This record gives sequence, C-alpha cells and structure tokens, in this order.
Amino acid sequence: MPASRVLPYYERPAIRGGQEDALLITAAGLNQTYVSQDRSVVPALADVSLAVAPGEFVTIVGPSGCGKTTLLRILGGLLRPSGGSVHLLGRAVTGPSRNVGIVFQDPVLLPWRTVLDNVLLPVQVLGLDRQTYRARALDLLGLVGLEGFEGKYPHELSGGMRQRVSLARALVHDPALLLMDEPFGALDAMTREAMNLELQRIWRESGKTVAFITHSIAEAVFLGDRVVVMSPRPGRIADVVTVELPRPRDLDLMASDAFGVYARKIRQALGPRGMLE
Amino acid sequence: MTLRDVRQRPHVVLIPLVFVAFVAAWESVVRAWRLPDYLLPAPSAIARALGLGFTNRLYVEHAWVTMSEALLGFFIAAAAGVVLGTVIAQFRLVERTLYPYVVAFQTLPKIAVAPLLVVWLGFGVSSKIVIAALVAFFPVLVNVIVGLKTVDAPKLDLMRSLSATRWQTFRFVTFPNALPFVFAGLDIAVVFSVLGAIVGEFVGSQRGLGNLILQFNTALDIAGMFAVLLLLAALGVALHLIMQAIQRRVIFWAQPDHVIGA
Repeated sequence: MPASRVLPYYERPAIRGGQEDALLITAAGLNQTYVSQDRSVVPALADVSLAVAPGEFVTIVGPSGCGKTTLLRILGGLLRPSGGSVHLLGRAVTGPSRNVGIVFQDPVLLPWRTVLDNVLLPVQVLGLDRQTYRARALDLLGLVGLEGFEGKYPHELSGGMRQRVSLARALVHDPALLLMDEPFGALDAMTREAMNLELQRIWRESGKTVAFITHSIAEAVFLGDRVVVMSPRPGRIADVVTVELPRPRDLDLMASDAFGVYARKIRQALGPRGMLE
Repeated sequence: MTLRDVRQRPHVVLIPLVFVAFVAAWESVVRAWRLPDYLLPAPSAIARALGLGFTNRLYVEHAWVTMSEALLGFFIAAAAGVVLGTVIAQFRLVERTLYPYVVAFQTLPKIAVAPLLVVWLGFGVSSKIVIAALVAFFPVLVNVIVGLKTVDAPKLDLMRSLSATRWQTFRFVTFPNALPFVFAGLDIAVVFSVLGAIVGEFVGSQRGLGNLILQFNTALDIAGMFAVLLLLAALGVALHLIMQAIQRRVIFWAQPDHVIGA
C-alpha cells in the first residue's frame, strides 16, 4: 500500500497545489426543495457546495432534518437536485454510478441470501465475474472481521455484524467513493466505538474516499479528516472544520484536550443552542 | 415426558385430555338418552363406520378422486394466481384495467357458479377441478399482489444504487420478498381447493367423498357421514402440514431469529 494513500488529504501535494481535477467528488450550489402535504414549498438544502479529495474521510454532522441524508442521496445519484450539480471523477452525476458504494442506515441485507451472496449482490447486478470477485468478497469479509461467517444467514448475525456485511457489500465492486448514512446509529455505544475503530482501519487499508453522515459530534471528529457542519431549515453548511489529529486515532484520544477543542468548535458552529437532537 | 415438561407446557397434556373428555361425554350422552343412530351416532359407532370404510377400500377410492380433483385445481389456481398476480403488481396499466374485474369476481361467491360448471363440463372430474381452481385462485392472487407490493424502500434504494434493471430488482428482491405472502395464500388455497371439490361433488357427481356424504345422507347413515367428515378433516390437516413443511424449507429466513452474538 503506497504511503500517500493514508496521508490526510490536506498533506497531499495535489490538494496543496489546488488542482480541481484532483478532486474525487464536487458538489456546487446544491439546492433541494420538496412540496409538503399542504402544497407549500419546503427547502431541504440551500446552496450546498462541497469538494472531497481522493482518499479523504469527510464527515457530515448536523441535527435531524438538516438535509444530511438528502445531500448523501444526491451525491450517490439516487436523487436529482432541484438546482446545482455534482461531479464524480470529473463527470456530471445524473444517476447511480458503479464508482459509488453506499452503506445505508440499516444494513438492508437480503435475508434469503447467505452473507457471501449478500456481499456478491453488486457483482451479480453489475454483471461482473462471480468467480473473480468471490475471492475478493471473502477477503473483504476478513477485512470487516467476519472471516468464517460467509455461509451464515443475516438472521443469524447481530446488528453490528450485519452492518459489517453491508460495508463489505459496499466495497466489493471496488468503488472510488464510499457513502455512509449514519451506519452505526442503531448500534449500542460500545459496539459503535468498536465499529468506528474498525472503519478507520478499513479506510486506511482500502484507501477509499469516504463521506460519512452522523449526528454524533464525537464520531464526526474521531473519523473525519474534515468535518462538514450542517444546520437545519434549510440545510446548509454552517462550517467546515479540519481535524488535524494524528492517525491512527484510538479511543483514548476522545478524552484528550485537542479532541475537546474540535468538539467545542463544532458545537459552536451549530448555533446558539449548539445541541444536536 | 417429565413432570417439569408438563408444568412448562401444560397444553401438551391438555389438548388430548380435552379430546378424551369430549368423546367420553358424547358417548355417555348418547347412551344415557338412548339417542337413535339416525339422529346422533355415538363415537363408537362412528369409529366402527370408519373402520368398515377402510377395510372395504370404500374410502381409498373416493378419497383419491376428491384429492386429485382438489390438488389439480390447486395447482392450476397456484400457477394462474402467481402469474396474473405478478403481471398485475408489476404493470400499473394492467392493474388499473383489471383490478375492478378482480374485485367484482372476488365478491361473487364462487361456489354459486358450481351448478353452471357442472352443466358445461358434466358430472366427471373436470367440473370439480375447475370449481376447486376457481375457489383457490383468489387467495393466491390477492396474496401475490400484496406480497409484491410490500417491499421496503431501502431494499429498492439499494438496487437502484446499483443501477439494477427492473428484471434484476424483481428477481433478486421483489419476488423472494413476496414469498412469505405467497405461501400464506397457498396455505389457504390448498384447503379451499378441497372445499371446491366437495361442493362440486354435491352439485352433481358419480364419485368422491362429497358424493359419498350424499349417499350416506340418503341412506340416513349418519355414522357414515361423520366418518367421512373425520376423513376430510384429517386430509385437510395433512395438506396444511405438507404446505407448512414446504414453507419452512423454502422461506427458511422468515423464521424466528437465532442470533449468534456480537
């Protein structure tokens, strides 16, 4: 694994040079409105612009209803924005792309498929060679700590294990960008911390670019190279905080002063109430 | 079975106990009041009739006729229900066009059509097969439609994020997702198909358990009628259990959780 892959994005030469084409995904002036039941137009996103460099881990934090999920769905090509544009690897995004892997809030596993067949679902749908990718799927299951579980069914796994399968599935077709929508929100606090550590390791080993949505400030600071702070009604970017904490980060770091400074900064960016729901 | 088992699951003992108490009460009432056999036969008389029917192979022949009518009708209903239900659930225009007719036919009591079918198709097995199929068709159809329409949005999002084709989404997600509903429909349908076959035989037939009931009825052989009813109940339970066994194997994932741990 080349060393450049695990460098924080801001230390990479391409970013320092400020070259636009070195960016993996850019969103420019995104607006999203929807019509509510009483026929009034509700803005969900207002003028959101964002650029993510290759290999960067960006976390997006904000309270419920700040349009985080809307933003992620637009980035993933699942939703057409009302205004603005998204470019992935220099190309305009008009729909879902095989260069994107999505980890949803729920694991969304197919209960009638084994763990291995769940991981291979993208391979099957994209018409890739099953035999070639079978080995990769098994490697990925090892990477997410589920070696030996390939023949199990989802109902035999715990919540944390299911979300790991979902992570392996999002990685199997080797997408450049991994979008994660509060993937650990349903897990208990201890499992969640363990998953954060694992995710950091997997990210470093795979060299993927990650956009990670959360409503936990601690999770956002712990995982992110950069934290995008969003505020609600309409959803817009309140601040972007660059986290210059050394990697790999461990859980003890969360009790450090430096960590606290970042957390406070984000809380302040969230506004006078400064509280996340 | 130990005493502890009984304490934990008392119904295991209570179920046969209720049966024994009921049969004993029935037998003693019939004997005490000396009820004639043509009004209410004693359980012992029914057991004798049942034994006689089995030894002279009367039941085997008639049960075979009724069962083959019911099962053929069931298979036709299952195939037609799955195919039409799928087409209706997948194509909006087909749904909008056909649904009023489906509702109209569903509200019609299907067994009321039986005399007409006997006129058209005769006293043989074919009219019974069609009646059985007609009665069994709607539970399958309705459950297939409901099953195919209850896919949770995240699963569809997942398929969309992979740019899946409509056929892929159907094959990998929508159809397997509908199977628990389809089996619920098939379970009802298999019992309904026996109902359809019996009604068909009532209207006009030469053979079958429904025909046998009518014969016993004419002869005022009430014990014989009860014996056939018992046989029908046993066949119904058997069909239901077979369906359950198939269901457990095919939709194994729709069972209670067996969690390994974190």
